[in-house]
Amino acid sequence: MCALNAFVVADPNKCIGCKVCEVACAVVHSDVPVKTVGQMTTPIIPRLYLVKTAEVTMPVQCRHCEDAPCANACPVGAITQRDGIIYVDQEACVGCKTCMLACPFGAMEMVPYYRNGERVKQLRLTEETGEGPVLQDAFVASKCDRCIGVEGGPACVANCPKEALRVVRPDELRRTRNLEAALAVLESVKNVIG
Amino acid sequence: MSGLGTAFGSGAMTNTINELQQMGPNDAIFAIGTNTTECHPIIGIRMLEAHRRGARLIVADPRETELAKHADVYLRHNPGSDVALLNAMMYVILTEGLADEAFIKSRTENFEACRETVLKYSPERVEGITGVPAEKVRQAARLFATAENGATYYTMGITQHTSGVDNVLSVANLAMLTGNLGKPRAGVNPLRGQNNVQGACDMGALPNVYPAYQPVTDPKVREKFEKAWGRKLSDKVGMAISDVLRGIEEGKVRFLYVFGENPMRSDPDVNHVRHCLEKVEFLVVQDIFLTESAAMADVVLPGTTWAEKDGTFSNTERRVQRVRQAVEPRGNARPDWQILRDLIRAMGYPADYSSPEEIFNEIRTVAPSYAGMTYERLEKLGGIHWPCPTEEHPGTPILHVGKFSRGLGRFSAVDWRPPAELPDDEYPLVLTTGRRTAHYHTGTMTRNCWGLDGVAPEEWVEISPEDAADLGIAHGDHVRLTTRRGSVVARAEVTDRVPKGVTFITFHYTESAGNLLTNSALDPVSKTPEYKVCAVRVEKVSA
Repeated sequence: MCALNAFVVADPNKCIGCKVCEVACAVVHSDVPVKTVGQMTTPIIPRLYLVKTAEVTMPVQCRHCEDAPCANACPVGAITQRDGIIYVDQEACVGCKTCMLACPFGAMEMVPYYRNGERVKQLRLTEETGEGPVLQDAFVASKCDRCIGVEGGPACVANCPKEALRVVRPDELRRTRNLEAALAVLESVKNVIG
Repeated sequence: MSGLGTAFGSGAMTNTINELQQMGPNDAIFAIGTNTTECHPIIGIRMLEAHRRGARLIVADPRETELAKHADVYLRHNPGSDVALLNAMMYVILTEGLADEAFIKSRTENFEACRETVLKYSPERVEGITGVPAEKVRQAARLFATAENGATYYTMGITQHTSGVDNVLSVANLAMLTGNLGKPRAGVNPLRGQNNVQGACDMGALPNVYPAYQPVTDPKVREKFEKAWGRKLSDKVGMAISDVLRGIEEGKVRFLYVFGENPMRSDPDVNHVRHCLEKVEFLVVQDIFLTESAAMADVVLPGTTWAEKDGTFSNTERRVQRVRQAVEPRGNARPDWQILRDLIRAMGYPADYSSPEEIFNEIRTVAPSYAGMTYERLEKLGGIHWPCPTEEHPGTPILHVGKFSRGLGRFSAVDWRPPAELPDDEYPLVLTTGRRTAHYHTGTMTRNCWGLDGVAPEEWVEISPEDAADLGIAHGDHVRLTTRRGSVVARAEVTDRVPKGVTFITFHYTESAGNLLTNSALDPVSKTPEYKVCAVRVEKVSA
């Protein structure tokens, strides 16, 4: 595939910080399929993160970098390019957090791993407790997959009440900007005689 | 309610929400004491859209809310200084000749008294009270007064003060001074916090009125209801919640029936509420979950949720709409009207209602503002704004057109009074309270929804970077908040959203119940408690 990777981005001038995008993201990525958030039995684990400070309010998520630092940094090759997204194979992830260090956007997070609604344990790693050794909970890398395969496209975009999120397709973006720039030039020279 | 009743003769939103969608460059939005984007997100979004179309946006709030960030002028006034701020805005409007003289002359009374008071409040003189630079107040006043239409919106940031009624009267003064009543894209608009709290008030769930705000003290009204219900009725005003609690303490109130409310989390000074609920002889709670209050009850009656209900809701803009049952009630739950009907029957009154529609039709016979509404019309029109006196009447989206409900609009002379409890050496910060988007009220529903609770699973109190540094508190630390009434532990969000000297907590969380801390001091008229200001001490909790 030769097109650049598309990504989701928010408009900080429109976002009101309501977190509907986070809820919608968690629902669509729920390990057990659910219709609404009220049916979920696993924690709310979104793949985009609301930033809400005095200066700015907007969610931040993966940019699906072309030369993805997370993929380059992963020591077990768990992160690859697939169908126009940067994809994390959570089965292969060892939870080393190198991708977190590498990502310039903070888009990568280590999350508790669930399968069929059950908390997944590490294969061998145990923690000593009063009642003897107990298998540790597994944590794996998690990030935006642009809702690949989800009908209607990214859930965050579809559910934002303010339409503050959109999918950016880089080639389209360039063509649109070029056109806008050309029209602006046209506007500024149209009254010039010569 | 009391304030707008005095000024206009009706205590509800004067205009409608949809008018925001028609607002543009000649219109102004003034939002004071409302965190609209967080607590009324859909209305907040429409405000921001109006602003993008050119409408002027003025926001006054001690906290720099999302809405405030977008404002043309943001007034960060000290908690509890609203009257001083509003008077200062009116001072500018009066002294710069921006008042709507024609409106004042033809539509209002008592203007001179108000004017005399306002002229004591120059923006420079009250800087020390409000904390707002005089020039900003001037900008805000000019921006609002020179707009063709100006709409004011407020919520609990105005009403939940010991000066709550004064605050509302001041908002009403400002709207009348600028001629912003009885026309579209204007008005005084208290946004209700719940889908049917307007409806509950309309039905007379207040100590002093029958349905449709007909006073219990009016002999003609009493006679009308005695005839309709076939029973002798009292002509005495009932008790406010605070009176009920005092009545329990004094042994005068022995039986309490709490219906869809959770005073153990929603009332101020929860430790005192617990003491009273323990003391009352017989406590009945009707709710959809076993709330902290229901857990203390002698009898719990399981009511129905919104999805199991049939009937009507009357929303913040006085619009009555149908609600239809989506699912059958679960378990022992029964529709509230059936529980009440059976109770009334058991008490010896022949209540034989068979449907919510039958009850609605009875309402129409005694509440003139609902008289013209039928289920059929509500369905056809998608809701009707009261007053709607006849079946030919289209409803009244905008109140006070041409004439106020009480005749002339009444100005009030309002002086600023400080809040009941101010910071001192022992409790050096101000604590104010509010809500978060993911949660509703005391969390009875939303904290039982795994998903919504997952978005905001614990309390984060807001504290300014300056205060946090002074107290050795880092973002994410656990902190203890202590007031004269109680103490709670929560996480600290170190943020510029609150100014130095002010902290913020919600009342959603049982494990960090904000209302253990709040002050139960009351407004003398409306008896609304001062949830929005009390003095607090904050300390880091060592792990």
